[in-house]
Amino acid sequence: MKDYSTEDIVRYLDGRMPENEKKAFEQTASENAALRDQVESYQSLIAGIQDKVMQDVREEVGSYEKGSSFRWLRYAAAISILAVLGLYLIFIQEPVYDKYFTPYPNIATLRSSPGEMDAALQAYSEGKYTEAARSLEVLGNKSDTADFYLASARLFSGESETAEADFKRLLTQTETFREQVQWYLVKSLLDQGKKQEAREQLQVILSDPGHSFYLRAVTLDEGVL
Amino acid sequence: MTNMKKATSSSHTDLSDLTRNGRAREMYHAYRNKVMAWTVKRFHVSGTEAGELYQEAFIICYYQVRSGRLTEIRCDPGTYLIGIIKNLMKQQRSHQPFLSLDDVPDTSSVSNIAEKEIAEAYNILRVQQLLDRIQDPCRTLLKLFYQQRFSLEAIASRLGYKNANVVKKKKSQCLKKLRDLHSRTNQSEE
Repeated sequence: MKDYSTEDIVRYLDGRMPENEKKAFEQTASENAALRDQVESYQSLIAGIQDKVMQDVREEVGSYEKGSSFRWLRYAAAISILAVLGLYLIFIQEPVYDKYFTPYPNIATLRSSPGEMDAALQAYSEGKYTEAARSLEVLGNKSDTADFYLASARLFSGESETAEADFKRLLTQTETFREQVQWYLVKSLLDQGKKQEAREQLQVILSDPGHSFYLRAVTLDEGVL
Repeated sequence: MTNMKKATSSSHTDLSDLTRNGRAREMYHAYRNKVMAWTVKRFHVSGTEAGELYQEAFIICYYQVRSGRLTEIRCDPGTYLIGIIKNLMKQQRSHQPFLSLDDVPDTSSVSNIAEKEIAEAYNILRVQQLLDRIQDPCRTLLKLFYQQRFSLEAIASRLGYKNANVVKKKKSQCLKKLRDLHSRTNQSEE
């Protein structure tokens, strides 16, 4: 009976195993409990990594605790600092700051949104930022929530200059997404190469240890700016 | 939680509107101090540990709702969160598997909590927490491939690997590392 390596198991789970080899693999797994256990274990691991709902929930709930010292936030901070240092070496020529600006999750969930926003927010949730931006533009200035997601959609579709103007306007007109706006404004500035202004904006966040994005700002400040 | 809808009877709580804008945050803060105080008293843990447990329990509950696995509970949300914490403590502190919630206060109405689903959600949470703990390049590589759906070629280019085959091999090594970490933490929790 052939011995299968971790690489073989992962290749099988990624769907990259040729058909004849796949049949032989499945045959072996059906007769070999140890191999079967390993396959199930890696399958569960990969499903866990990929689970988008959990990613979104963790990000959202994490933002509820300002300045929290809870365990996973501590892990995240510690690892982020290591990650920044590592990434700085790896990506010295790359815009490493991108790693710290994952799109803000869609927490204005569909059920609570006016019907006409559904399609736009759905597109946003699926990472179709250009489509989301166009849909939100059509809706016009309906609410702070719509404005925030429009600015975010523009930012992640590469329209950083427009996004910068959106975020700056939002800062003057609403408190609802103030901390998020401050954070993503930094990205819009970095995207345009306005490093000095980005640094100044980052200092606003760093001056408030209770800020929802404080830990990320620290890692960004230490590793990139 | 003033806005949580009482559904079919006074002992049922409809969680379906938890996903509406701001409701989850509202519920999180509504039960936070009460549940944390109970956790400190019941399990003799520090405030920080109680906070960690509360956050994990809330993530699990909210995950169940957001993923459509839970729409209604036969108790108030605070009791449900306590039930989850008790399960987490069982898994973290003893050899006992996820089982009943018999000695959680006022939990006769919580007996329908699907412990298996709580365990599954917790497992997913643990995997993602551990992924945040492993060092780069593994963390970035696995996130790029499995969460951001980058191709092996794109990852090779982005992370400076020679080609897709090298990334493929590295990815397997990273998964093995994560699996070993997962096994070790499971054992230490037992």
